Amino acid sequence: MRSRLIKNMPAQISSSPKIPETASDLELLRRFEPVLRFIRGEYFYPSDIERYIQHCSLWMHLPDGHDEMLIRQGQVTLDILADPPPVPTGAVQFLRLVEPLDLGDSAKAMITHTRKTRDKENKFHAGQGRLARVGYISRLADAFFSLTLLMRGRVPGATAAVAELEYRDAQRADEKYVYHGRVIRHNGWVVLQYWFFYFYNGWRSAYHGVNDHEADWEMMMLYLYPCGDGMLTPRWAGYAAHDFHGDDLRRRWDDQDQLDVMDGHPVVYVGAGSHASYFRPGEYVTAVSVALLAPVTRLLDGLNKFWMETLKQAPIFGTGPFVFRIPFVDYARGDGVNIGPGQKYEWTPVVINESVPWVKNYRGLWGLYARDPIAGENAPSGPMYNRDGSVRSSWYDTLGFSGLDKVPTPPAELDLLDKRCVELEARQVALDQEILVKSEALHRLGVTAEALQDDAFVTKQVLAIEKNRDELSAGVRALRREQTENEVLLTSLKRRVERLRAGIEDDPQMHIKHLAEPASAAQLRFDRLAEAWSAVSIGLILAGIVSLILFNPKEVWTGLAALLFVFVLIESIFHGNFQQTVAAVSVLLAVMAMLLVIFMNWQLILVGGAIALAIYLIWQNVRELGR
Amino acid sequence: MKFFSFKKKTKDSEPHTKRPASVTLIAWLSLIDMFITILIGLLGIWIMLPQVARLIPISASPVLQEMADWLEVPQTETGTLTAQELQPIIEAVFDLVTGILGLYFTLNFLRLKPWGWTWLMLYNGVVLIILFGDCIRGEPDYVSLFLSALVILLMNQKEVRIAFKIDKKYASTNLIISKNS
Repeated sequence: MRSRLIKNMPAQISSSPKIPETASDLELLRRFEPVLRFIRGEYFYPSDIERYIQHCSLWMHLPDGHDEMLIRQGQVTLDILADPPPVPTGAVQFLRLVEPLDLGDSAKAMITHTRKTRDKENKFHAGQGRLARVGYISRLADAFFSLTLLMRGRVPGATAAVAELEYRDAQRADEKYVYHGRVIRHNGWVVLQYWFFYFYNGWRSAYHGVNDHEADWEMMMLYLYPCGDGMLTPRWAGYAAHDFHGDDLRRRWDDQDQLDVMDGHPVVYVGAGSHASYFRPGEYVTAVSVALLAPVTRLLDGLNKFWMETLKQAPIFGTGPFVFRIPFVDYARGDGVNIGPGQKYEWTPVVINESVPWVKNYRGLWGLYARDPIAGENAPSGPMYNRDGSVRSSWYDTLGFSGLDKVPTPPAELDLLDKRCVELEARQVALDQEILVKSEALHRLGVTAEALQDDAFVTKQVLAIEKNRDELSAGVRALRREQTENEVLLTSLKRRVERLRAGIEDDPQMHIKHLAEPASAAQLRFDRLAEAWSAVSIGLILAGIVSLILFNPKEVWTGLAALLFVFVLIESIFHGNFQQTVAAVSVLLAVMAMLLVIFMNWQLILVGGAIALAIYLIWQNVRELGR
Repeated sequence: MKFFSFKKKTKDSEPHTKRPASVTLIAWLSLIDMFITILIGLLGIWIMLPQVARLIPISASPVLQEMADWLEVPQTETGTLTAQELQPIIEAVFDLVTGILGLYFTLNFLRLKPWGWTWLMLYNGVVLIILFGDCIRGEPDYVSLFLSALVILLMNQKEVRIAFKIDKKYASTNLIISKNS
């Protein structure tokens, strides 16, 4: 897919685009506005906020647990958000897109939604099942996660359907695709921040994802630098994505393996429902760690270390840290609607910054407060704030967000390197001089101390001189070490300067520690069979357990172990890791067996150990006698 | 002793992998275990011959008749056995079959065949599950539990896995020696 895209690109596309430094914020944003590629079957696209708040009411969740409506639906305006009603300490202010629905309303909304969205052209296909991609532990964790949803606060079932209908109505009345852009100038970088607002995040309800919530703010950034002649050119692109932070969030503009660029516009592959941004098209298995299992994870990590380092055994479950992964797939195939320059749908830009009142003054949530303690189902706050009202790091630290706070612009880097070389060279000259002077002084002290060695009447003086001599000697040694280290550093710096002057770039992925890679299509063998198996296997295990209890209650535990053993082995064939699974399961059983043997026969083992020790000692002593 | 000096067959041009001492140790432990298992199976069948004979129409075949005479099996009518009579026969046959299978895996393990490693591992895993079942039934066999677990843990050692190229990342040149050297 990617290679095709690159092949089809005209030659000039791969060269860096430029824009005058004097360009206005809007011109800058427009020049590099991204192309968003959605999945087929996506319901929500980036919208303006005016149309959204027209459908919303403003509420307040009080600390005593009550919700209180502050402003009715249809009466919320940007002016109100610019000066929102005050809320008491501990209360949560939130907008609400979908009013509380009774059973009848919910059913009606669902039916209407199903009828209106019967669009075969734009229908989502999950493809390879998410459960088929992971093992039994993750599937059980998934079941556990689903159960937690019953206990946690969650967005009501029909909300997604109503939200989608309202978005359709809004689009029918005035179709537009909007981004909210912001331009920040910092440390020589010009940062273009693009915010995308969606009416609803339907990842859980429509795509078996982690969560649903009303309103969704997503963001990406472009980092430009002055490249001379009064022009700016892009150097980095940073996309906000699940599970990644800092350096891992950004790609270099010329990194053709990781960043698609179309006519000077970066391409973003948008996750289905989650609206997370990805550099490459595909399906991403997202690791959602279960906080409750963190102590177990830590314990297993410790045991794994003991197993591998102390017992010199091969790892049972891989060498990395244990992660209980819940198999959520973020579908970012990019095979649906495209929005952006030269696409079927073009952008309507809106420039924002701290001086825009609703951005600065509305700290509440942009959708339903679902009372979810882990916040996944609560709506987000605006572009400037976190859910708790604090300022987002992506707003106040646009460079640090993508790990660029430590990276100067390319011209500045060369200047800094030159300056550093000059500093070091000056320091080397100074060190030469200092070492010469101090070495002479050291010699003087050395010969003086030697001359006084035989004179018993000046012992105190000799001791003082020797002390001074030793201190000076240590000082000279430190200076020589610094000089040698500086030499090495200077060589490296000069080599880098030469490389940069010659236009030789570093590996564009050198800064990336964890690369987000879409799941490979060839990850599973016998796709259909694997999917069918993953769908029925947990049920079959349960049926097997029930059969054992009913027909052979005496052998339940043995039968269960055998059943799990067989199921795990079958599963491993689909995942192509039969050998590793056999080893892992057998080693696990062996450890259990050893523990059982030790536990049941500890007295015998102690006696046996004592006898063995006694024999060894006697043998050692007898050998010593024989020598 | 020629029988046990198995060497992995390799082409002349191919380097061959040196068999670590622990592989030989595991193989010996397994061989003893398999021979004992086969012996127990044969002995069980021998003891149960009169019952086994009732399952086979001996008089229908002169060869079978001759064998029965040689083994001094008492002449009985062909018929069915009760579950209690059948149980020890099944156990003996099971021991014999698993013993032979285990022997086959062990010999290939000794020849440094990766699949020999996998199936011997699987074999011991299955044995452990059966032994756990015995423990739950109140008939623990701690010696067998210990031996099977020991074999598995020995097989899981890094040097053994390297010898069988189980984990490519552990592949090291120090165990690969040129045949010419």
